[in-house]
Amino acid sequence: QDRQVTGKVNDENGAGLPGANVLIKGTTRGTNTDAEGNFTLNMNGAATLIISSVGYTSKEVEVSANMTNVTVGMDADVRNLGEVVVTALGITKDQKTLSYATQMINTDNFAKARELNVANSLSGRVAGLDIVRSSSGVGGSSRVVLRGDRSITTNNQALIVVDGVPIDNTNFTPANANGGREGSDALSSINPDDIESINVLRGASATALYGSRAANGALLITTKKGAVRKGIGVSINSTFQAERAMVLQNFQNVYGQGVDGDKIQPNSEFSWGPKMEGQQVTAWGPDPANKGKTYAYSPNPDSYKDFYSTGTSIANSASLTAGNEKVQTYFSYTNTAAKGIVSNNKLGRHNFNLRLTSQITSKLSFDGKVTYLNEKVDNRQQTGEAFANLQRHILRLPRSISLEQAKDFEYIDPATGKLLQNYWNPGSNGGQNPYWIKNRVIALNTRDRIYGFTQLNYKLTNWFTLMGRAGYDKYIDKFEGKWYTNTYTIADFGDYQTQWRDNSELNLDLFGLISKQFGGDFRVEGTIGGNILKRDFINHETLNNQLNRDNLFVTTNARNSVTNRTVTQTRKQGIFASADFIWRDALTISASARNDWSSTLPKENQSYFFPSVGAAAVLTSLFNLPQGISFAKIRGSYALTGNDAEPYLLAQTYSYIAGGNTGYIVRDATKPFPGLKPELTTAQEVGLEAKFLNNRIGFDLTLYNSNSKNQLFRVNLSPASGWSNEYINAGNVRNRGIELTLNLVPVRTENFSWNFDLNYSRNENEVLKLSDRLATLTIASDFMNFVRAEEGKPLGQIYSRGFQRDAQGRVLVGTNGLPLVTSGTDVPLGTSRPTWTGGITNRLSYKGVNFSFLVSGRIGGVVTSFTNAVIYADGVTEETLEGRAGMVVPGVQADGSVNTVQTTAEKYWKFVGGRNTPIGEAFTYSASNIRMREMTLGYTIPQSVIGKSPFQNISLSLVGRNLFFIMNKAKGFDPELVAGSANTTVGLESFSLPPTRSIGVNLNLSF
Amino acid sequence: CTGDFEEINTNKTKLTELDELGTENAFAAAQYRSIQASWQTFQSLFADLQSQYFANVAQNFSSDRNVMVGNWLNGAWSGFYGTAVPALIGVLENTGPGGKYANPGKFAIANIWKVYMYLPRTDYWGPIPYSQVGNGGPEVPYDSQEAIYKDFLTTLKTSADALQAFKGTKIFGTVDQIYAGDVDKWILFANTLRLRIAMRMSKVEPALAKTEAESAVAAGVFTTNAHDAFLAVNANSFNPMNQATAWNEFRMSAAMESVLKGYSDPRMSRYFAPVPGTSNFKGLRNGYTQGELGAPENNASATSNVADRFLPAVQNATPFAIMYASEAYFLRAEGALKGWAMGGTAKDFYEKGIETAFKQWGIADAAAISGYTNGTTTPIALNDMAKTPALSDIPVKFSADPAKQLEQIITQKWLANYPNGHEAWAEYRRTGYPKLYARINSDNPDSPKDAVVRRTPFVLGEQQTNAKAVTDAIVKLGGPDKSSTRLWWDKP
Repeated sequence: QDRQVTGKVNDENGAGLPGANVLIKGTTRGTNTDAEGNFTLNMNGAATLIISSVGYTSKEVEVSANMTNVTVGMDADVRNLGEVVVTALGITKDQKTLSYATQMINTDNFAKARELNVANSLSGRVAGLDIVRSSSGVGGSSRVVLRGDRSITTNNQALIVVDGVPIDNTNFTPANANGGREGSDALSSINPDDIESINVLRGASATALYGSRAANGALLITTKKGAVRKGIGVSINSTFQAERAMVLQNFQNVYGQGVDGDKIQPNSEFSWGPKMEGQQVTAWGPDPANKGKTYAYSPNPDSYKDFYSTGTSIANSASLTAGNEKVQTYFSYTNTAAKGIVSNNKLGRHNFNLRLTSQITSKLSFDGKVTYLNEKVDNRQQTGEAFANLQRHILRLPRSISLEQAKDFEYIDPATGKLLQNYWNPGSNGGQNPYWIKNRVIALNTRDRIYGFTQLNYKLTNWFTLMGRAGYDKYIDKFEGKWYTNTYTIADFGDYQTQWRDNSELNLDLFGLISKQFGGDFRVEGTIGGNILKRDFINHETLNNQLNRDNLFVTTNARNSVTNRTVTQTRKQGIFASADFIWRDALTISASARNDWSSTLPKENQSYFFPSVGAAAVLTSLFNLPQGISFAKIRGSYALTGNDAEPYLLAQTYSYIAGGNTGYIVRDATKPFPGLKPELTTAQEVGLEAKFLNNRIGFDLTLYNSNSKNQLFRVNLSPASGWSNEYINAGNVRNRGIELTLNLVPVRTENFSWNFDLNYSRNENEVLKLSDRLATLTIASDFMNFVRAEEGKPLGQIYSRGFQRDAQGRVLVGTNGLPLVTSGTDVPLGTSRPTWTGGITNRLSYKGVNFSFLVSGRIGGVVTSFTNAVIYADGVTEETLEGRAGMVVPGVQADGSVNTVQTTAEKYWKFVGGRNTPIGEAFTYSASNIRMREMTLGYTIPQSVIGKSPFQNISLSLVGRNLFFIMNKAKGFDPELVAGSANTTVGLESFSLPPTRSIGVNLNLSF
Repeated sequence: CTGDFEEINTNKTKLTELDELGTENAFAAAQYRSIQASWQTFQSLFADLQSQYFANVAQNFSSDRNVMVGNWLNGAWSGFYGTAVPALIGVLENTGPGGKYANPGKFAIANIWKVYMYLPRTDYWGPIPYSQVGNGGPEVPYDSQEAIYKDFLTTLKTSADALQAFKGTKIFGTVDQIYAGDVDKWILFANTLRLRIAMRMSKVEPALAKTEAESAVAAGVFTTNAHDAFLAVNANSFNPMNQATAWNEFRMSAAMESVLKGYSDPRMSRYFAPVPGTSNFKGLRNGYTQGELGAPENNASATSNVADRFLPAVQNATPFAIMYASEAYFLRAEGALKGWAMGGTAKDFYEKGIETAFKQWGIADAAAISGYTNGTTTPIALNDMAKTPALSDIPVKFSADPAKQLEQIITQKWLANYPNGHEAWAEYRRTGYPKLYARINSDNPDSPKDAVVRRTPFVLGEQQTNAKAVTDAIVKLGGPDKSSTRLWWDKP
């Protein structure tokens, strides 16, 4: 006998929740709540109701046979709405009370549309977060910057915090445009399967409790833990992805190896020869086996593309959870095996993670975690101008040489029995056979990292909890470099390099958490405590320089061995207190203070103080706002944070170096700085959050401003002063901007929902002041560019040589028919930083099928391409086809007459491009690009199908990453793939790997 | 508890103080680094090509076409001022009067070395930071070349005089990589260097040059190869030239080929190696374009590399040449031509110079030496891409014609000073000898292919860090900051 049951579904604030789905368990009978959250259902006897709504965790409610009325309170799904968020030091807070902006990232896709480095999964998802990746292939690092660059020459990367404990994100070898090999970073050590949520603290107010580490914002990563449940939960996630190079360069297929348009030269590194018409020409290279042979001088249109193979990435992860009221555990293991598009660039990674939480007594609880990572990366790619950068050589391959021929990259010299390189221009300074570099310049890296924490909470009274936590992060990186004998000019006699780095960071925290209610309306949430930070770093490296016996890679086979060991230690102590005064959950006044003492500063400046204040008001709770406005909050804050310095800057040091009969002593080139002060950043922000139409429309708008003063930067001195550089405290860099996130639910029905998320940010960076001594500071230089900080302009101004122009802006041409260029690298090309970045995510789901895609854009700024400068001079691209028989450079002669002097494309490009003095102006492009960053199509098998099986969830997804450019203004390359993750490499492209498009499949099982 | 912060912030892998022993190690570093720190960017890519000892074969290099490549000159500058000079500053401060480890002997030797290491630098740029070096910045004034040269003379004289008190003893001992502390040889070195410097200024300050040259010779200059100055090398501090030859960037010049072949000079095989797989020596012209360098006949494997002693395999064994006794004879020959009291005739010194140079390379056979000295053959024309004519028409046999004598002396000095390119380039600028070839091409409008590059422009790094001083230096230079502006001593 049916009876009518009425009910109400309330949201977390007790307000009626419209549109919630109410279903009688085990049946198909159900309904939706109305605009007030009410529903009516007919049912028979006792039943269980399943109530679900987007943005809330589903709830089951028992309805006994005699009940006719039921009220259900729903809890917000933290991951979707971020109502309870993790803040600095791992303290969770009610989002409503925050006086600063945070953004919770939806990490659902991170394990599916997997990136080897979690940093790259963040791209396009967070307002105000700028990510560029180094062109190192598999195993590379990325640069993660929030709200623009504050520090002119030191670190600008966000602090990475895992479960309340910072982990080290030092990049020891940031490569620059001059070349190098990037190392690992912190985010690549984090297993996406273990991530529960990521909260982004963008500004200094949010991170003020981290004191002198806080200036750059923070990413707070919360990892999974066990839960109280019946039996053991098992989840298996498997991903396979394949990636292919996207060829953006347009190579020419008309003219072959040689010069002057008519000369075929078997030892030329240029493609300025005659037309390739299948002529038989002398075989190149010193390999005696090829002596007297000829081959057809024909085009090889796909040589660049075919050089790269299909990269693959396989990740399998299993996690177990179990728990009762007392103890909960979470264990996971992930195995990742990846191969880059350069087939011997490989990564193998094992992540082990064990989390134990325990309620020991009603007052004492324990939380602890240990994570172990073992990673092996082979042949992380060299970047930039480095002669050992493979890209340099494959891009320069003369068009008439086939890959098949180039694969004949070595031979045994019959006279000496030596293994030698086979290359068209033997002994070249700058050229190598790409296959030789791939196979005979070997880099092997391993990383073992262990990090974790133990934490005890003791509830002293019902309003005061004492918490002690020890967090530890240690990793050992090992490197082995094997350079075979006859690697031209950089290792003619071979080299063997080893490196061993041991880095550790210990954080000890002790703090009290206060949560006290005063009457019904007023409560105080506070923290008081202290932190001790110890960082120790040891680096040990050896260089053989040359090998006695060819290709015997042991350190004792050195001809000129150099061993270097450095030890770096820093200590920091801080005490802090914070308090939120909250009235009726509607009005919050916050204040915090921290004082730090750093070992790297001189005694008189060792102690420094950082306060912050803020306020938040929930307008919908304070005032009677129109019905359509479901939530509105305004907030504002002010904070002072800082940055201490590297160690050992205060006193003169001398280095002892092997040499001569009794050794050399040299005075180190940095002038001591006994008066060093910490950097200070003041930050203000205001924001407005609002939700409309029952939370179907929501936005969060933030305006911020920060000024970073007292910056510690290194300025070059004339070396004749006795020192090559010195540190000064000066400068004032302002970042101000706007961040907007918009969340829409255009459609929400029982079977179909569509979520639309948009983020947009615009940052205006300006160097307001450098120092009284200098108005511009060169922060990097390479063959083509200078990167400068200049008063009145954004950081990262790129300068190069440019064309000389007359008063009307016309290019001046010399009597030889070639343009006249400026003598110095002093022509401004633009700023390397984007004007705005943004992303749009659409998530559509229909029954068990869900589809999402992320489009992201990075608009504004310029990028210069050293690659194009070199390869245009080599004559390998389509751009060099025009004018081979003769051309006239558009422009005017010195007397103002229109230039009519003939030249050739070969002369023009060799003059304008090339390695040593390229005219950067000719190779500068807008860095604006918009791309289809990610697409996933998933299917979750309905409960009705698997209901009787042991599985609780089976879902299958097809994923695609970096699928295509919707717009790319750069010519022949991806402007986000830069030489390295150093501050200065943004905007400088130099022999980067081609970007890759990846497609994969992901299977998730849980039972 | 911040009590241990100072200790924590002390670098454990560095020294924090220059003690007395450390001062000696710093002197050793100053000796080596002033040679090695920027050998390629300072000497090899400019002076060695301008003096036409060598020609460039690296296709992407342009300095052989007179391009004053900014990054290289920057490297040349900072290699010297950034690494050699600070080491020497420490020595001078500590051993000088009032210094922590005051020692007049060490101070004198360090000062003599200072002059040696600064000389080629002022001969590149003209005015350079000298007297105010080590002032801590931010501005470091440049001294005029005249002031620097005059200080060189005083410093050498004062230092040689100070060393008289230590005659027969050793100072610095084995720390000194040149003479193992032999004071007597340092005195000869100082006097010979003073003779070289006096000669360099003989056009601009003839009277002072004469007085100083005569005074130097009277005080005693190099007379035998036992006095030759070489910097010892070993596995930890190797010969930078040998290191650089691994890169295959330069080969024998056409000028060297024309002269050595024309004179059937036995030093050919001491200086250079035959083309691989042949017994023929082949040089190439300076200033080819990239395309011309790409021609097989101009390839590194088709032209003469340096002799084995200059190759990387023996970079820890071949000592680096600093100054030879033969040079002292050629300087005295030129002085005698000018009528200076050099203690002999131009002809005798010329022939003695050749003999000393030959003996230095192990050619001691008297007949061979006199056969060469009396040789009447002349440099030859080359059958190369540029159809290069003979370099000159002078034989070795000392001419009766005073107009030819200077060319002969400087040509032989050029041969003898090999591979000391910066001295050869300076003397070529001063005398116009030997008659080197015009470049095949120049990409520098200030110094076209048939012009002599007279200096190197001030470096970019200085324009950024020491701009006002550079502006003042251009005034002291007395002409535009170009490769065509003559230095103080360089008079037409």
